[in-house]
Amino acid sequence: MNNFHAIHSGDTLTITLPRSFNMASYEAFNTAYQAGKGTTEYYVLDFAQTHHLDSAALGLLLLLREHLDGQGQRIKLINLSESVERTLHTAQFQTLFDIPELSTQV
Amino acid sequence: MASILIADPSNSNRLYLKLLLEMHGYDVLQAQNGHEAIRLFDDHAPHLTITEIALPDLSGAELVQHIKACSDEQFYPVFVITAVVGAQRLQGILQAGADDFLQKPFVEELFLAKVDSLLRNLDFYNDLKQSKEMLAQVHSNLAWEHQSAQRIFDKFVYGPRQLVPGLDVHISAASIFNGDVFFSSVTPSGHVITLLGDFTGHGLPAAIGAIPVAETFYSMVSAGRNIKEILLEINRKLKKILPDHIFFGCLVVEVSPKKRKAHVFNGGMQPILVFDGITPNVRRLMSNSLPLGVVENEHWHPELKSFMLEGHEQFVFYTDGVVEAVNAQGDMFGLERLVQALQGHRLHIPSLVEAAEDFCGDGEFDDDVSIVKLDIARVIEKTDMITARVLAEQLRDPSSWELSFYFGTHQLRQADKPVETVVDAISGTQPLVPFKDDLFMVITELYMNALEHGLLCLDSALKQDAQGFLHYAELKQRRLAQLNQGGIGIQIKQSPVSADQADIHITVTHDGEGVCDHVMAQPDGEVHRYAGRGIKLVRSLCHQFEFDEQGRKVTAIYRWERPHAKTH
Repeated sequence: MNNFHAIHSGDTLTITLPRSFNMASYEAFNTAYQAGKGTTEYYVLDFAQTHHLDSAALGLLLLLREHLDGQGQRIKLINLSESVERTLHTAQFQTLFDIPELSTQV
Repeated sequence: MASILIADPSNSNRLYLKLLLEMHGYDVLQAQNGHEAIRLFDDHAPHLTITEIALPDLSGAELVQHIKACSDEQFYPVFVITAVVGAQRLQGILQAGADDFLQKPFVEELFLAKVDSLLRNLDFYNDLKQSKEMLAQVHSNLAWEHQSAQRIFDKFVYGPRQLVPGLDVHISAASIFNGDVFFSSVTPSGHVITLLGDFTGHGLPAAIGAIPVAETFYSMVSAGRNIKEILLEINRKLKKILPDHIFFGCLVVEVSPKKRKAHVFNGGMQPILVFDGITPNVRRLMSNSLPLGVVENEHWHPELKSFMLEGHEQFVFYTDGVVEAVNAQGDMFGLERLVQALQGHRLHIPSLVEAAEDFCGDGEFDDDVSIVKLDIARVIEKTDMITARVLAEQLRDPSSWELSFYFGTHQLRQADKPVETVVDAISGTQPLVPFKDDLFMVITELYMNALEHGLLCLDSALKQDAQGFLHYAELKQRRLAQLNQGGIGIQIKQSPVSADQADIHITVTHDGEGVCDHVMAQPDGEVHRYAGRGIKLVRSLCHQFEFDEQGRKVTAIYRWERPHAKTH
């Protein structure tokens, strides 16, 4: 499985998600966020390359949140395409994660 | 040790081969002619047969055919050793199924190497065959288990579904088990209720959660629980049992044909479409709650929308399988195409399915797809039928009974839902589900009245404005925590009036200091549990109502009547 691009900077781990982020990304995503264990306070998930999310992908986001004992405010989701934004909004994930692009909307 | 049959008319040849093979540890059988070879083969099933092409009574090819005809269960290799040089005869015996050949005279080492290789092939073949059989067995067991599981699944998930007028449903699953669930039922109060949900993913892991959801939904609907209670219970269960990455998007549409009212919940599902039934206009009811099974109940606040119906509306709801259906170019069918397909085909669901399948090209969806249409005009048209069926199912003849409850000080402080306990006991004695909401309201009002004004001596005049209301609630909590004497009694007594009618006498008593018969003079616009209706509401619901002993004893009489079910 191809690995995710992840950059550590201070206490923040930025993970760039691949073009297709879905159930098949389970292992790679797990490995990517586990790498930040201990030293990472904040996680940034960059969706710039991801055009579409299915519900399995939403499930993966929940895994990371559970990994942080439910502290979703430590996970920021950025560079959302219109479709990704809509999916996140439908699931009302702005109540679980830090999603600046959604919180500016009504 | 491997056994080898040698078929050769020449005695010297046979002896030579026999000695050679025995020297290398093989057991050897010998046959002079074809028929003897067949008999020995049939009796001993040797691992390998070595034959000459030219036998006195049979052709070598016939012997090979006989052996190969027995090779269904097991592999029997045949090795041809011959002095014959004609290519045609060699070809003939190989076509008959011989596995290898060697021409005489031959080098011993080559001969032995070939024997060894044929026997190795035999092991290889038999292992393969065994694995294949095992796999076939496992596969057939699995298929059988799946079938049985599917029967159980269908029984739980689809069994209790009630036929509801005005429903048009399309469901297709991506595998045997469906990760989409659709339930429909009629509530005891005669409302039509439907639930469409979608578990993350599809197949067995997605479908397994459907069983507790179905159980909870149908049992709570028939017990007269409201949507919010049902959703909270489902969420609680799913949060407990589902793995972290699986959740349950879900929507509920409940329609009261009598009140022409709809209650809608959408947690993580695609927008519910409401067509007004006259113009092409469509209203979209977006998701406004988290899906179920994600967070604990204390963090989950399902929001319901309620609105009045004109009577011609058509609701269309669907799982994301249809909007996310992808064509060869990677484009998704999408919501806009879905709305257009509906408008273009007068909301005909099979045409929508066809349009989506055409769009995909190969005519198959990759995910579970469910599409439901609820035609409000049909529901309203069939109101009488729905009500009659509900009442016929639920109302028994009235009988005489009496229930008595006493909530002491300690119990008052810690009782979580005292009124529900009472209403549940009533339902257990005589199912009165259509009237349960009314009874719940009446008993709640009388209980609250006795508690707040009788025992806690609170003054409802405090509740004039929002500020006062907060103060009131705060004061109530403090006084309840400090309460050290007094209790509330609730007596429920049913007496039949006729074969179709009964009175339920509800008497609530308390032994506190407070006076609580002045509540009749509650200021209008008061913010109270039932939006300021309070005792007024009890009066409107009850046949008779009176205060005794300065409100220490309140009696309300609720009369229920079996509506005359139309005979069809």
